[in-house]
Amino acid sequence: MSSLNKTFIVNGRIHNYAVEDDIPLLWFLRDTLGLTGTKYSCGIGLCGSCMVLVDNKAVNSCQIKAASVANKSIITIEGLSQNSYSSVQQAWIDEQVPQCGYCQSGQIIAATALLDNNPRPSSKQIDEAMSAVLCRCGTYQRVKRAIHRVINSQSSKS
Amino acid sequence: MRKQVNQSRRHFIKQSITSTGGLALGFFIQTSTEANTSTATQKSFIPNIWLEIESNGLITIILTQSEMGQGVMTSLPMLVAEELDANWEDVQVKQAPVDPVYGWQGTGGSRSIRKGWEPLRKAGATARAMLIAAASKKWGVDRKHCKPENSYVFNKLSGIKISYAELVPEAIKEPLPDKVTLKNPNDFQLIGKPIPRSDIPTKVNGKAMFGIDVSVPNMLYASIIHCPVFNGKFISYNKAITKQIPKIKHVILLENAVTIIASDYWSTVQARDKINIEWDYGEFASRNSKTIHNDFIKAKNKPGKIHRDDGENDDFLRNNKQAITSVYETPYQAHATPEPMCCTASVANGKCEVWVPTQQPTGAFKTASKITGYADENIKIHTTLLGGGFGRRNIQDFVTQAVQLSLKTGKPIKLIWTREEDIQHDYYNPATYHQLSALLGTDGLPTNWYHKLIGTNYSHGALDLPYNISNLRMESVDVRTGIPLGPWRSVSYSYNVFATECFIDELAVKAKEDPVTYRLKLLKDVPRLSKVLEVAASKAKWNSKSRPNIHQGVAITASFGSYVAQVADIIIDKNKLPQVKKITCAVDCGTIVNPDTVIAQIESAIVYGLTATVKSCVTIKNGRVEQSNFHDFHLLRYDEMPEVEVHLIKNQYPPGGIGEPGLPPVAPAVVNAYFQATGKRVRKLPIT
Repeated sequence: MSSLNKTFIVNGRIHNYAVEDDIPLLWFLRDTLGLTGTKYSCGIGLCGSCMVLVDNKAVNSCQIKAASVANKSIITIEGLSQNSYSSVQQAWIDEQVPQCGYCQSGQIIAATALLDNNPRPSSKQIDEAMSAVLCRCGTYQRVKRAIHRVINSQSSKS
Repeated sequence: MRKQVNQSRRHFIKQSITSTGGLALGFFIQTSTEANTSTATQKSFIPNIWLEIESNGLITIILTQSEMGQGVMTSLPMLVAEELDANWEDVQVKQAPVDPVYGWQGTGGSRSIRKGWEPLRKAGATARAMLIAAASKKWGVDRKHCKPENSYVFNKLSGIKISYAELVPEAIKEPLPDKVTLKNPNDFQLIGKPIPRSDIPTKVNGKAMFGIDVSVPNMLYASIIHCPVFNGKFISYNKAITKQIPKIKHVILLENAVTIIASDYWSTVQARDKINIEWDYGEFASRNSKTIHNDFIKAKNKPGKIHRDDGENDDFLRNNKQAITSVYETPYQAHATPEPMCCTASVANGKCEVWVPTQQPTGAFKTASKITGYADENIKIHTTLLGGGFGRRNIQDFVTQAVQLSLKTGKPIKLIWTREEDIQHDYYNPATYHQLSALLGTDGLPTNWYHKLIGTNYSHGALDLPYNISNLRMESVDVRTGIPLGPWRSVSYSYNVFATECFIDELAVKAKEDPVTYRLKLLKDVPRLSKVLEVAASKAKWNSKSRPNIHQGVAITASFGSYVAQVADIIIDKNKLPQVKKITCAVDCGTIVNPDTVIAQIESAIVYGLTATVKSCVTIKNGRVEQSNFHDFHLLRYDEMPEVEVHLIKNQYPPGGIGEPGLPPVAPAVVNAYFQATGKRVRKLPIT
């Protein structure tokens, strides 16, 4: 196990850390940087609770090594908005989406990646993106409504 | 701290003064089925909930309930604020400290609103009466001229107003009123309105603190490996592990488990693959789902514990050649809370502090007390937010482990189970086997009904069959299989209602009757259940036959004080499996406190129940659970979510529970729809 000093750009802030080659980004974010909004739930990339944005793409942070994303832009749930809430977060409040809330960082990151890259996704594209994140409380219907709320507000602006 | 100045045994309200001179009222709500109500009948009654009004106008409600997404941190304060005529913006909620003097503190059984309904409103009304009394003295006018509204009292004669904040110093001197009048429901301002949940904002920005997020100075991290076979014994492990991974500080043996402790969690996870534990699996390794099933078959001829015996049943059971009989089966189910089991404990200098997502804070307290032997004042429990509960977090296994580890190492320990441990070492919803038989009269309606439940004695959902049948026996045979069991969302309604609501559908088919009409004929004495059934059928366009590919099934349940009917619309996919397109649900939960929370809980229970209907199950092989993570314990995903349409019945009955009642009808509604579609009767879950 080697530890080399690397540069991480997390939520726009630069951190220099010597990380072990194999530590997953999830545990680096949670235990080293204290960014606990990103959650552990399955550890095998099947539930999406640990999703973060790496160069604007949603990835399961339990499945990638921290060392492999050095110098890339990493955005966690804490960094989606500098103050108040992003349009996706606000839609989540407006539709009262979360219940226990544990998976919701993953849901919001997945929706953000989807809508940032494609402001008017088809139902099939929404299904594909959002099926990556499990919700045991069953908030899917509200997730759907919140996503459509963002799509509609964006299209009414443009 | 509060100073006690007055209490009223008659009203079970205790009056005090807060440390900053505010008004404090303590009251009691029953939070458990345990015999904890005794605290409310003792000479000196001990409140478990407090309402505080400070002289700066802040209104604080201190609750013992755990928030796990069901919205109690919003709906319970609504009850107080309603009767207090408080401005909702002034109201905040705090989690109560955990202390056995408060009686049993716990959250489950869809109890919070049901048990809080009276005492919380009385608390609000009591404080309101004291504020009015203070205003009336101040102005020298009769109380009837003082009208409270929005955290002010208005003088109806002069038109002037005074804030609650300003009245607090006078109100604390008022005696507790002898009696208080609760509002007419038609005057409710908050109750019945969709109030945004106070716990949501921090759940969208990552700031919400769950048990897994707790951090304590000098904390070490622990990972646990239970013996994969239930009841197995530890033999040995690779002791070189601490040299192979230098961050490993300790390996500690607990009962049936090995724990790895390190300065970071990831190192403990890595060590799991290298620790090479040898176990003595023991006799249990020969157990599997088939042998458990055989035990059920053997048990079905044993005399059962009789839970209900209406009319005359012996003749029918001796000679029932004309009877219609069926067998229904349900598998073990795991809770799979999104946040795996976890707990942080710090035992040092004669004090024990625990941070834990639990449904039973008092259980955690007693666990910590038993392990450490410390006096109550040296034990402190912090209830964090829960990443799902569903009954699993009633059990104290993970608390026991964390406290033991901290005691043994002398360091604060954060224990986090892996998902694999969580699925394989749950306290499962029991596997069950149901024998049902019935005899139909000349009118096609059942004259006799017999239900024998094998596997557990938990009989709710079966013994309280709502249908009017003259001769009815319900009995059960408990079978100890060695698989750990525990409460799962809706408890025994989940499996018993599956059996009864499918079987009644079979009887309707035999009688050549429409399943909705047939049920209604048997529900004449249960108008609230008939009503939800009629509403669900009507809203679902039952029998409209306008959509040839859609097949419908129906089921109903009365549970936890609420009445629910659901119609499932399904299509049959290319693998001949049901694809659920829509669930239309009618709910009568009495007075609706926060309608959006009610709807959310119904949506949630439907997804939880549907997952167990078409996706998940736990099976046993070689004495261990075969499933281990979401690749084989499948949960419903976004693209499989049916449309859920919830219709709430408005009335003024006291509130029923809402966390669980939405679950039981899902499985039978889907199975009954599948029969309509295919002519095939599914009698074993899940349909996969």
